[in-house]
Amino acid sequence: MEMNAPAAIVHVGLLFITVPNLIVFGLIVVIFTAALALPFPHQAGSLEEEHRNG
Amino acid sequence: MASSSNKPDVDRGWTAAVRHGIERGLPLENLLPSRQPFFVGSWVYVFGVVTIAALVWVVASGVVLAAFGPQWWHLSATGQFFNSLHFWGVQIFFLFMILHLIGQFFMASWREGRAPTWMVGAVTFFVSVVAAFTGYLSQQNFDSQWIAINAKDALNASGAGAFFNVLNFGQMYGLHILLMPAAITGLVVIHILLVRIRGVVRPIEAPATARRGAAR
Repeated sequence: MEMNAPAAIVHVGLLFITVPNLIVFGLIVVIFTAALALPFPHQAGSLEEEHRNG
Repeated sequence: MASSSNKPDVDRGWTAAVRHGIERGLPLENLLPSRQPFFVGSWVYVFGVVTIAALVWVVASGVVLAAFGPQWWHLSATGQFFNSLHFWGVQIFFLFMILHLIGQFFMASWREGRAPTWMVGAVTFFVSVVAAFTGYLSQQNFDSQWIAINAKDALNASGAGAFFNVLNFGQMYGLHILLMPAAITGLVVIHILLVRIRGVVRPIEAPATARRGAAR
């Protein structure tokens, strides 16, 4: 990866952003969505399990 | 002479007052809980922990870089490796700090007396930006010179240049390797203690009985 040159820029309509920044924003969206969607492993005997079991 | 509660006089003084204050505000089961409320079963609550792990990684790699110096981190393969560890550790630190911020923002986690926790977190973020900036200025390459030359005019225009001279490598390096890490670490410790004192904020729709942290 060439890091001593200016970054490439994506320019689509109003969107004007460098590729590295676009990657970071994309990562934020992907990780946040995954954190909401993926099930969290539950420890046996946890308060969460007690809550689910009433 | 004993007091009315049969406690000896040695239980007086500022040390006893501090001890009692800590015992009331932050009992050990809150400081080091073994169980969390049911709503903590979500990956969103992991963002803050990953941020702290990245901070530990950044500080550890930074200690190695400071020990060996710029020539080492630019010219030797091992130095470049540690330089990369430091750089990518910072990327992960900021990425997950932003994710933590977004998650807590949409949870309105300043509710129920947690405003100080939120404010300390916000200050930590801004101090981290200054730490990253001084880090870019401490690289000792053309990139750092370019950033310093361009930043000086903005800082001079704001008046900050009188005491924050980006062209002064010694000042920027000192800030980056001592004062900024100390400030961030201290703020993070305060942030965690505030979380432990108040407990993890419950989701907006969660029952109020689940307000506090670990089972007590």
